[in-house]
Amino acid sequence: MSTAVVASELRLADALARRRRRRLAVLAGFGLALAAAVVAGLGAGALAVPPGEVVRALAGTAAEPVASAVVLDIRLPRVLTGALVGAALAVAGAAMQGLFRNPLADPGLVGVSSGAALGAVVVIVAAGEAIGPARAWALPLAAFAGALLATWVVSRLARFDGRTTTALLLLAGIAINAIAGAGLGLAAFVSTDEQLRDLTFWTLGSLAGVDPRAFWPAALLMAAVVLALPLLARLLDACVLGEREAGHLGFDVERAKLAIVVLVALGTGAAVAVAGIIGFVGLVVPHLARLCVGTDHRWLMPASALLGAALLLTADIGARLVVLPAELPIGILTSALGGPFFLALLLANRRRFSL
Amino acid sequence: MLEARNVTVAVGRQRLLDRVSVTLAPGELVVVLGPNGAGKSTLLGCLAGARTPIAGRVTLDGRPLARLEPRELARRRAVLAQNTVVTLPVHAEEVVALGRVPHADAATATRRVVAAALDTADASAFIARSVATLSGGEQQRVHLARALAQIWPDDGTAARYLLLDEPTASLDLAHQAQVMATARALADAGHGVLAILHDLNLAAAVADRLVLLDGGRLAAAGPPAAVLVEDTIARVFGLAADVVARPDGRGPLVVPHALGPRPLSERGSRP
Repeated sequence: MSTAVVASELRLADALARRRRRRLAVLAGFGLALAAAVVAGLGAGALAVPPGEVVRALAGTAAEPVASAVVLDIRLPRVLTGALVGAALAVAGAAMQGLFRNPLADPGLVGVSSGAALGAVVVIVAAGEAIGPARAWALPLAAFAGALLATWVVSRLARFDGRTTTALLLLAGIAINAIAGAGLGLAAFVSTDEQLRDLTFWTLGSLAGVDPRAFWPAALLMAAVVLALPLLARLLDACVLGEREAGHLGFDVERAKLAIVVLVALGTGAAVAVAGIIGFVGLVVPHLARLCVGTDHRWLMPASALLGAALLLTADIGARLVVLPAELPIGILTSALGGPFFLALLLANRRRFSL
Repeated sequence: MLEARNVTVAVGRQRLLDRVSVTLAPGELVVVLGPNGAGKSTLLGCLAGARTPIAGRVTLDGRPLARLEPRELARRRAVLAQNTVVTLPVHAEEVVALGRVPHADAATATRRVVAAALDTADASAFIARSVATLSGGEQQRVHLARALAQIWPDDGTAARYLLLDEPTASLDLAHQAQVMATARALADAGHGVLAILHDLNLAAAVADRLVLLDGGRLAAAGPPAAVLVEDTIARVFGLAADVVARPDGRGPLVVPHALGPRPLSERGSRP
């Protein structure tokens, strides 16, 4: 072996070790942020519970039964839902961006979320309470079906000649959002007052009205997606080079793409079923995570999951506190923050995205 | 041996390839030549297993490509495409390491191969740099390193095959020569290399055999001196040229007439 190769290998080993340390530190930081957000989210509200008491309640050694009940029975489901919704939307966004090789892909922007919302709303308006306990599973499944349909249409429309173009992707998203919007409007028009309240909740996005019956099905689906999508990390890395290159590297691209599309639709559908449309999480979180750990999806997926959960919980605390004693739907908050972020992203990449 | 036999590819009614046969044996460097639209990339796609012909068959050591496990095929042959655009921020060594994915080897083994492949492609200066910040030619060298890493002969069992689609397109002269020298060395080490080139003289200097395509058909095939003759060049490229001996004696040298090529509109009409 020549000395030049040895020198390069040393330099490479050094660069890799340094990057690995940095990535581990980032993941640890995101994990700590998530733990802090969970404790804060369990403590914040009309009855403020200090962090120490929150931890004791979680450990089952709380001194005050009231605080313990508030933390465990009222706030814990909401915080768990928020964390899972944030993580699911973030990994779904990261997967779509990798698959479409495009940092602007996001379940909300390309219409997957509104497809899911339309699916859920059809169940609410058409079936109502008539289906009883089946509703807990019917809602996420209908949302999944809507999300899957939207994802399928977008991925078919936006691909041309083996490549996905930004313009087609976003334009297809506009069309699907418009169609789903019309459907949601129609549903609002024919719905009863009670249903209308549900609909508003869906279209604005909120963690306040989490239906306890819908919690477990959706939570299991979201957890499965958050754990399964990172298993496809190497495929997503290969897709960054292009689908043809991924095929040359020995991936069964068509089958893997189907798996990604189904998982993204499942995760987004379940998130929408419990919390409605919460926009921009899938756009902003992977972008920030990529700045910290790079595009290697073995790191990007877990980083996005942790950061998505932490950020959504933080946003939820904000939504709960900003207009006390009322509560802001969290979707309004994420859109208010994510919209300008999206504009800044466009501004920074104007040349690259010129259509 | 990688072999395409009587391969036909059609899109709609148009035949991109019409009963073309090509063999690529271990130890051989074959260069595919031909005008734009002759079917060169289509042929390479068939040999890579990325395109399925409507007739004819492509085999690796006698086994049809379609029946090989994609991963097994990926360990035996690598492809360098014409222009690979990376739109997300990825480091050069991460791109090269993707070439080792089919092998699923340990981190230290991967690192050793990645470093060696980067050195061979003269791309080790790009370690820890984002590929998007590199020039087109520099990116091409990183992708060459990835292709080399994919078929890096580390276990020495079977011959590997490297398929290069215009590997010199965006490279400066020195790096063009270096890429082809790398290809030559790989062939001399017992592997098969097939490259699409436009430079007839570069092809004549490095290739064992030339394959000349025209309008989806095999126009000529054989050693450089047999393929690059004035008649054939005029017929296929519509270009009047003198073919002379290279000063160093290594194959023919094509000197196109500076003025007065046949008008483009007359191309393809056979005498």
